[in-house]
Amino acid sequence: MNNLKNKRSEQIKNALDTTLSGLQDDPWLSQRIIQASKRAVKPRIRFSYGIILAVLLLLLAATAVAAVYLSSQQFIQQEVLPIAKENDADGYEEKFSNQELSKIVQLAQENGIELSDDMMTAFENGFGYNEQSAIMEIVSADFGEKYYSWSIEQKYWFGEMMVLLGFRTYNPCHLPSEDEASLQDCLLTIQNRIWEDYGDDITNASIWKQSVSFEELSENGTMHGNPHWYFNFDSLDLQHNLYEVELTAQGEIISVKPSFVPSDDSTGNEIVDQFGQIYGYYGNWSVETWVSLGQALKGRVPGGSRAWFFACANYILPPTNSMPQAEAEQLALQAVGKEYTKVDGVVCCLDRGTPIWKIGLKTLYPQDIGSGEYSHIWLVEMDCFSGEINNIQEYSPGSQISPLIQWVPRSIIENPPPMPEEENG
Amino acid sequence: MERTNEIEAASEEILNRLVAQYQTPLRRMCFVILRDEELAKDAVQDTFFKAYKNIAAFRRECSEKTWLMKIAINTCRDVKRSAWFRLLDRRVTPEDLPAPIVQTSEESVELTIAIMKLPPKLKEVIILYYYQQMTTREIADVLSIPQSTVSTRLRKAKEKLKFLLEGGDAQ
Repeated sequence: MNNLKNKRSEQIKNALDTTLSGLQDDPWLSQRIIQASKRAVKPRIRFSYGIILAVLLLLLAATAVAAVYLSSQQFIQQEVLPIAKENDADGYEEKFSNQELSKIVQLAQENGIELSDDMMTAFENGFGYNEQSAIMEIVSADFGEKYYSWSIEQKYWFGEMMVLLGFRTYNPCHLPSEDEASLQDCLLTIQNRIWEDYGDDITNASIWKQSVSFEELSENGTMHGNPHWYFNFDSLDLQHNLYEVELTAQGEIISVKPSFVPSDDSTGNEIVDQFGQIYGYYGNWSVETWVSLGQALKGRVPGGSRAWFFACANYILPPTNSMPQAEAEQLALQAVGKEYTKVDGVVCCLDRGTPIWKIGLKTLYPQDIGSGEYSHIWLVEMDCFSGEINNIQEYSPGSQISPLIQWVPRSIIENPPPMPEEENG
Repeated sequence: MERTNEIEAASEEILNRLVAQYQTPLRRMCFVILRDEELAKDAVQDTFFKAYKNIAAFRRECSEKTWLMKIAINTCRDVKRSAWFRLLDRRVTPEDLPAPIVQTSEESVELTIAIMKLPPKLKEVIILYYYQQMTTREIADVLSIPQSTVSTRLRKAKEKLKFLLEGGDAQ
């Protein structure tokens, strides 16, 4: 960006950001979208029993190779899927009724399959359960919790299940054919390219976590025509680059996109984004991660209010003799005193010089499962040493609150230190 | 997150990040393009909804920002094609702007109004280039037009903006 563009950008950005500062953000936008998405009608496809039987036999044959995951996959295919299809015969239902859930619970017990807490809660309270969620939760015990970390075989199998259930009209996931590059071929190609261009050895599993998919997709959701390989190499620390690599089905590299470790002139917001790429949703970050973020933000130009608030929050490790995190969480749960409440994110920080635990909690009543919205959100701030609760706030969806309030002391949200002037515009 | 399956959980994480990062600039961009607070609000919600539905399908052929801007611009264009939009009064005055919550200057208000008065095609490139700080190559991708066309529109937009500001320093 040249100086002239910089000057004009600054002028226009400042004009729009100040003149239009009255346009209020919607703090519940994400929740509204997720809820709306769940209400949206999904296309359902009718299959003849002949086709279903043929595909089931094909799947059974395919999964026989992957014996490690046989039990949960077989359970889905032999027990859960037929119930879901019976369910469809009565209309385009996407949920298992509690009667059907009861049958699944019984069959799961007989087969030694453990069902998720959410499924059991829904069952015990007489509510049904979303079909897709049920399948995902049953196989995740074998496949792993995160979909993106599944193998290409597992993603392919899951895609087939979704097609059979009518949740998708096609399976975007493929398995490489004989005339296409294998996973190992691709890895070798990528390994060489990244070593030559960037000097990183992405085979070092203690530094890079690899995930891969072989999919036929385009960004607007239409079919691409043929599958491509997509690899992600996520750095497990903040010392090494991240890489996204795309290859053709034949194993030719289309693009290698590195995300470089923060440089000296990275803004605070860029640092926060990088942490987000590595650690995901704020609610899953550990206390140590928040401390690392705080350290990484020190002395940097914020680049936006988000990083500025985080930089002001003074994240710390729990001091010696402070109440352990688990105990603090229990106290917070007791203080809320509502059934179906779980902890969602904990930070330890200084509030006007005093170490506090700030604990976010979410209540989801069984009747609201699948609604896309938590019934209530709670924020509890307590003294790190005494466990005395300084502040407890309850929010229901629709409340107008800062989206950062869960991660930053209330005192800072309500009375933020002024952001450095050059970033205010 | 425990109620959702893991695909949804991963998508929700991405959505939360996108909303945290882009909601404010998108809201302002949509307002400038649509000149209506409620329509802009709906367009932003619609943009994130479409993004959320297609997160799994996003192939990263372009950057996340380019992808999101493309959706937003197309959403605004859809809104502008609607019958309701055609009924709106297109004149823009300072009174039509939402009351600012931070201090602004008269020059900033004039510049904002001048940008809002630009013809749609010129307004899009100005906003993407200067406000969203995208390159002409990225804008070409967002608007599905050649890079040379982006440069031409940018030049015309600057001339028009200068004209609207009546000799101001928006060169």
